[in-house]
Amino acid sequence: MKTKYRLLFLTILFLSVFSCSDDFLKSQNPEVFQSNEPLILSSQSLGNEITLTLPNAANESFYISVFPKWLQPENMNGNMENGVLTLKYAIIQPESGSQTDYLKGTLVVSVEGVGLFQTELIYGNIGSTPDQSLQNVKQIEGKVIDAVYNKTTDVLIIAAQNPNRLIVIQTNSGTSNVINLDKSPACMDISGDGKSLILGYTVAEIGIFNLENNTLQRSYQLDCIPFDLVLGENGWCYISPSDRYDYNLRSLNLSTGKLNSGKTPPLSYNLYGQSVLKKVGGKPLLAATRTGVSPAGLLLINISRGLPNDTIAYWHDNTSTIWPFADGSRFFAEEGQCYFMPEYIASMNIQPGLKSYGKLKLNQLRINCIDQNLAKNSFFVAERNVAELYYNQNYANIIEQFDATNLNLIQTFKPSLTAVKKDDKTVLLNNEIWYTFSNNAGSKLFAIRSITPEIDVKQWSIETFDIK
Amino acid sequence: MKYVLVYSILLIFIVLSAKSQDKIITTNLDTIACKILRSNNQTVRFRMFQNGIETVGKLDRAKIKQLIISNENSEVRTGNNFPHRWRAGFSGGLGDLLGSTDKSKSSAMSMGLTEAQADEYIRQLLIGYQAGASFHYFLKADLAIGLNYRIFATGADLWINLDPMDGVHMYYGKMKENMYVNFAGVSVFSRMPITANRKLELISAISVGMTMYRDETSILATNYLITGKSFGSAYDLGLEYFIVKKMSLGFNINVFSSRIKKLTLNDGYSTRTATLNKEDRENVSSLDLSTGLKFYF
Repeated sequence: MKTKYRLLFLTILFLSVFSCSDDFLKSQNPEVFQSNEPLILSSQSLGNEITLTLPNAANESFYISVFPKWLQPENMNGNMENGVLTLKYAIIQPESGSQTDYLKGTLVVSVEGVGLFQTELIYGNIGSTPDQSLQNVKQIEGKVIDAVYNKTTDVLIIAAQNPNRLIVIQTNSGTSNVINLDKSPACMDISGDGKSLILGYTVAEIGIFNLENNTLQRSYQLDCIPFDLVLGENGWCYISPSDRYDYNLRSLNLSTGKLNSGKTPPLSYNLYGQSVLKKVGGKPLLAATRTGVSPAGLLLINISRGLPNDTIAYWHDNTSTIWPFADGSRFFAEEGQCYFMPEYIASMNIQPGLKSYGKLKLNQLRINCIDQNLAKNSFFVAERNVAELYYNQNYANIIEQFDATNLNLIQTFKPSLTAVKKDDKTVLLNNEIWYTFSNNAGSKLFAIRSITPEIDVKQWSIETFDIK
Repeated sequence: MKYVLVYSILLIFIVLSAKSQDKIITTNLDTIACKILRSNNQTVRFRMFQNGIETVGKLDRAKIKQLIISNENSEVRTGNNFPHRWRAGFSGGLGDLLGSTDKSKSSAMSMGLTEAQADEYIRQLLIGYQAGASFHYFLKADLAIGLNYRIFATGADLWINLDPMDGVHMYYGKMKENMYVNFAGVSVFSRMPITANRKLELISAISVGMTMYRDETSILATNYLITGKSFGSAYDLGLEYFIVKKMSLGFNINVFSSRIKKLTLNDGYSTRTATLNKEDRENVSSLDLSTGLKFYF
C-alpha cells in the first residue's frame, strides 16, 4: 500500500514539474534609450567606424537588432568595453538609388540586461557637421563677396564681409593669411603676375594691395560705388558703377591715380551700371555684359590707348554673364553657349549676331562660374538649377569638367552636404557653388560655396576636390 | 559391460532429469514434477513421466498455486490467481514530429529567413524529448485499465535576419521557440509473456484523451504564446524485462496522434483565437522511442 501511494505521489510530482506559467510573456518591454542627435556618417571619413557610448552598458553582451539595409556591420554580436561600442561597417549602396543625396535609417543596439539603444543614422557625402568639418571642407567666417585665383602663383584670394577681410590662401601648401579691412569689400581683380590685387569697396573707393607682403599700398577715391572692376594689364583699371542708370565706364590710371569718368549718353548699345567686366586675353579689349537690362548683350571696349575708345561695339544677344577663354578666341555665356569672340570694329556700334562655336550640355540650368585649366585643356563649370541668380534653390549644385576643344563632358564633381542645427534638429543642406578654381597643375579643384538659403544663416565654406 | 553402459546411461539420464526437474504446485497443494514446456496466462503445458511413460499434460492457471522452474526464480501466485494488481510506469526518450514541414518552411522564408536557416530551424524543432507516466489497474492477469500522461518538448534557437518590408531596415535577433505537447487520457494496457519464466513480456497500450498544446515563441525580443487543445490518442508497443520481481525495464515505440484545430495567440497585450481549416491544423503527431522503469505491486 505504501508503495502504491508513494508512486502516486511521484506521478503527481512528475506532472507538477511540467506545469506551465505565463512568466515568459512578461520578459519583454525592455527599457529604450534614445539618442537626441542623429549620428552622421560621412563618405569623406577616413575610417568606417561608429563609436557609441552607452550608459550603464559596462561590459555586457550586445547585438545589433535593427540596422538600415545600406549599412553592413562587421559584427552583429559582441561585448561592450566599459560602456563603449565600436562598430565597424561597410556601406552597401541601394540598387534603386536614393531619392536624396544621403541615406537615412535607424540603428538599435540591444544590450543584455540593460535595454535598447536607438539612434538615427545619416550617411552621405557630408563635408561638415555642427561640431566639425571633415578634411576636404573648411569653414569661412562671414559672407563671401568675391574670389579670384592666380594660376602663376597658385594663390586664391577671398574677399569677405562680417568681418571685412581678405583671405589669402597658398593652395599648394594650404597656408593662409588674413588681411583685415577697414571697409566692406565689393569686387576685386588680381594681376596676371599675382603680385597685386585691386579691391573695390562698398563705398566710392578702391585699394591696391601688394600680395608679396600682404599690405595695402594705396587707395584711390572714385566718383561712383564700384560694381565690378578689372585690370587692363596696361597700367589701368576699369570700373563699372553700381548705379544702374550710370552709363559711364570709369578708367583709373594706376600710376597717376587719375580717374576718367566718361560722358556717354544713354544709348541702347552703351554700358549700363551694374555691368560685369572681363579682360579679353591676348587682346587690348574689355568684354562687358549688362546685368541690369535685357538682353544683357555683349559689349567690346577697346582699351589699347588706356582710355577706352569712344565706340563700344555691341551685340544684341542674350548672354547674361560671359567668361572669355584665356586666349580671347571664344567665350561662354550663361546658358552654356560658346561663341567666337568677335572682332572689334571701331566704326560700328550695333553689330550683327554672335557666331556660335558650340554649346555645353549642362546638367543644370545656368552657369555660376567657369574656370579654365590649360594643363587639363578643360573648363570647370559650376552650375545652378534656377534661372535667376540668388533665387532659393535647395538643389545640390554641381561642377562639371568639359573638354576645351570638343566641349564634351569629362566628369562631374558634387559638393558635399552640410549638417546644421535648425530648430534644435540636425538637418542636411545642399550647397550652392559660387566660385570655382583649379590649380595650375590641374590636380585640385576648389569650390567656394554657401548652404542653400533654407535658414537665416548663410554658412560659407570652401571644398577641395582631387581631379583625377 | 553392456549393463554398465546401460546403467550409466540411465544414471546420467536420471541425474539430468533430476537436475532439469520443474515442479507445479497446485492449489490442492499437490506437487507435479515435470518439465514445463510453455505457459501463458491461461494454461501451463508440461511433460512428465508416469510409470516410465512420457505424458504431456495441460493445467489451467487457476488451479496452479506455484510454478517452480529449475535454476530460476519461482513464480508465486497471490490469492487472486494473477501476480500483480497495480502497475506504475515512468519513461522517457526521444520524439520525432511527423507533420509536414512544407508550410512551415515557406512561412519561415516569407518572414525573411534564408532556405538554409529555415531548414535548420525546422530540423531543430522536429526532434524533441518526451516523457510519460502511467498508472494501471489489472482487471485480469494480462489486461489493465488506467491513466496515461505524456509530455513532448522540443525547441529551436537561431539567429536570423528579418526584413520588415519597410524598404529601409533589417532586423536581426534570435528566433527561439519552445513547444510543449501534453497529453492525458484513459488507457487500456495489455501484456503477453514471451518467455516461459515470464521475465520478458510484450506489452501494448492504447490511450485516448486530451492534448494540450503550448508554444512559446520569441522573435526578435517579441514574445508570443500560442496555446490550443484537441483530442489525441497514443499507441504503445514495447518489451519489458523484469529485473526483479516487481520492477521491469521497458523499451517502447509510441505513436502519438493529434491535430490542433483552434489556436489562441497571446502577445502579452492582446489575445486572438483562430479556428484553423482542416489542411492548416497544427499537426503535433509524433513517433516516440522511450525506455523506463515499470513497477508492479
